[in-house]
Amino acid sequence: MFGHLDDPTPISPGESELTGVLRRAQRIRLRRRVGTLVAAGLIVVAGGAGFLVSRPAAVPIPSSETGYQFNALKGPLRVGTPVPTTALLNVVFVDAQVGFALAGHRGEAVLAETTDGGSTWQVRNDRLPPGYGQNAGYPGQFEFVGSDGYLWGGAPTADGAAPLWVTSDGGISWHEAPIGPAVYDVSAIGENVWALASACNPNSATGAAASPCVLVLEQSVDGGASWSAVSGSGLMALTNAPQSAQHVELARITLSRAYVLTDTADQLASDPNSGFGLVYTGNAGQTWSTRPVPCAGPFGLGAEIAASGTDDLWFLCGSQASGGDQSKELYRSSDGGFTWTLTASATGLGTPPPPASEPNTLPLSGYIAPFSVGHKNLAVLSPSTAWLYPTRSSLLETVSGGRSWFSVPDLVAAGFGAGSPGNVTFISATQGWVCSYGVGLWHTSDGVHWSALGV
Amino acid sequence: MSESCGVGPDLVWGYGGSVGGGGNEDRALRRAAIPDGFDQAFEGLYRLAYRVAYRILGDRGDAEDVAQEALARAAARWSRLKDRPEGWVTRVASNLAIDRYRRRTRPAPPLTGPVGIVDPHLGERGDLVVALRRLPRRQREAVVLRYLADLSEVQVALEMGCSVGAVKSHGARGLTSLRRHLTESRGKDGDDVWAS
Repeated sequence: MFGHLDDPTPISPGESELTGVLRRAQRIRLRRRVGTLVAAGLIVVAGGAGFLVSRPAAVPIPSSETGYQFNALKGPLRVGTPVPTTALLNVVFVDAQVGFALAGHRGEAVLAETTDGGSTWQVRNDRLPPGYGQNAGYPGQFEFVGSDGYLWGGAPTADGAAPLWVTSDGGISWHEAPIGPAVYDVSAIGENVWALASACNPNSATGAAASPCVLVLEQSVDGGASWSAVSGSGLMALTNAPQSAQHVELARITLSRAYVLTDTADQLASDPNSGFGLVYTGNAGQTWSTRPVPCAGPFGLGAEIAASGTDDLWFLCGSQASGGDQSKELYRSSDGGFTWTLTASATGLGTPPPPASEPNTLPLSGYIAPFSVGHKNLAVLSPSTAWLYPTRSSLLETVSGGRSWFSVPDLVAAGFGAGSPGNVTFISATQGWVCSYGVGLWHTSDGVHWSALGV
Repeated sequence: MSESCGVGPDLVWGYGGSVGGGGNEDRALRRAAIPDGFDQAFEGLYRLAYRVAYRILGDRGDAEDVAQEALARAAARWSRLKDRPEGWVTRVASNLAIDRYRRRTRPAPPLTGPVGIVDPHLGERGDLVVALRRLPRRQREAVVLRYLADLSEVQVALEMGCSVGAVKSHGARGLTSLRRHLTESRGKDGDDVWAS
């Protein structure tokens, strides 16, 4: 059919054509070999790269890789998987070397552990009870004493409860404490653990019908293994069961002395108009006595309390918050809360701005309760020195008993204050850590200078 | 099985010296590198590949180059082809030729020489390439093997792994499509294409 397309003088292949073909065949074979070697090399390189990217748990690396890379890890995270400091949401330290953290991973919280003072972190448990990560709004609070840990304040469970979870093996396994169903705050001194709980379920219809609720102090003397109610009929009656842990605060000073602050108190509130309640016990919760609450008017929306001793109290009052700012007042008491002195303030948002001759002595920026991630953002180390880390603000320090506050330039430059979740914690007057999700973890060993860890 | 001269490790492809020109070197190359039975089949396969390529390309040099490349590839895998190499060589040669035709991006040089050097079937070859590329794969295989390579229907059936009847069917459909396309091209472009 296509004969007319043929070469009219067809060739007759001979030795020269055969030689040419054999040369080409030789080159083809050579290319094949080279290609095989290159492919093998690429496989080795890719394998090596994959090995580095996957970062096996056995390879101890500084926790300096970005949270983005950490989030890129899919599936269950093995115990020991390195955790970057930029993924830390909330840190606590048992001592100068051992610490635990809630770390963000793909919207969930995992428990991380450090044994070198925070330089490197490893996954301890990636299957925490639900409700403690970004997807739940970062509501979790936790505390560790040795290998005994306590986790609470998570998003309500399916049945509306807000339980306390307890571990006795350093976070590997958790069990629900038989108290509640709502647990608002916990403090552990050794194996002596206090938990503020309510029998009302704040997130269910039955709970609402049962109001007024009673706030109860539950105590464990065996690291959370068993519990008993201490306060009998309750230390405080509540108008409504608090919706979250942000509304109840336990400021524990010693094994027997503590203050409890709530913004939903009823009968025991010293100021019936404010809704705050502040009570004190000096006998391990057997009896409670009320104290006046200084927050009033536009500053009556949120409150936080901290103590450096039985009588030295710091009290923060907050207004409505907006745009990263919140009007605040700081009160001090040196008589155990009977009398209060306004020490510093920040006004201008929902409150009259300060006179030009008297500028704010507290930064207006940053949220405290009830808008803070947690209410433990005020660390009072002595009657003169304290650290405050409001949400959406940088870390602030006072060495003048709260009269003036200043930020740490290095931390501001590092990105603290950009609004990411984080916290500040101290284990002594000089040894502290501050973390911010996406920014990292910084440490001070002298209470003055801060340096980044894991970099 | 005489794998000792196949494309496997036993074949001495490690010849690294120059093979250009010298008759002794050529002989050494042949002794070292000719797969078993390849030299006996070489001439027939070369003619086959050349014919297929020339029918598509219409250029002696290009067709020789395609034939050499097809045969070289065949030699490189001779142990797997030697039982029935014609179909494989035909496919490779036709594919190489079609690719080469499509890569002819440069416009044809101005016709300054005698008219006799111009390929009288230049347009038909171009239409053939286009038409072949439009055929379904099995029809194209059947047309190429049966009508471009002039293999028998039995051979084509063996190459395609189907019955002779299926070869006839694929071939007939392919030819019909091919003719229709060529006719359309002729009508569209005019007889000058065919007469060029």
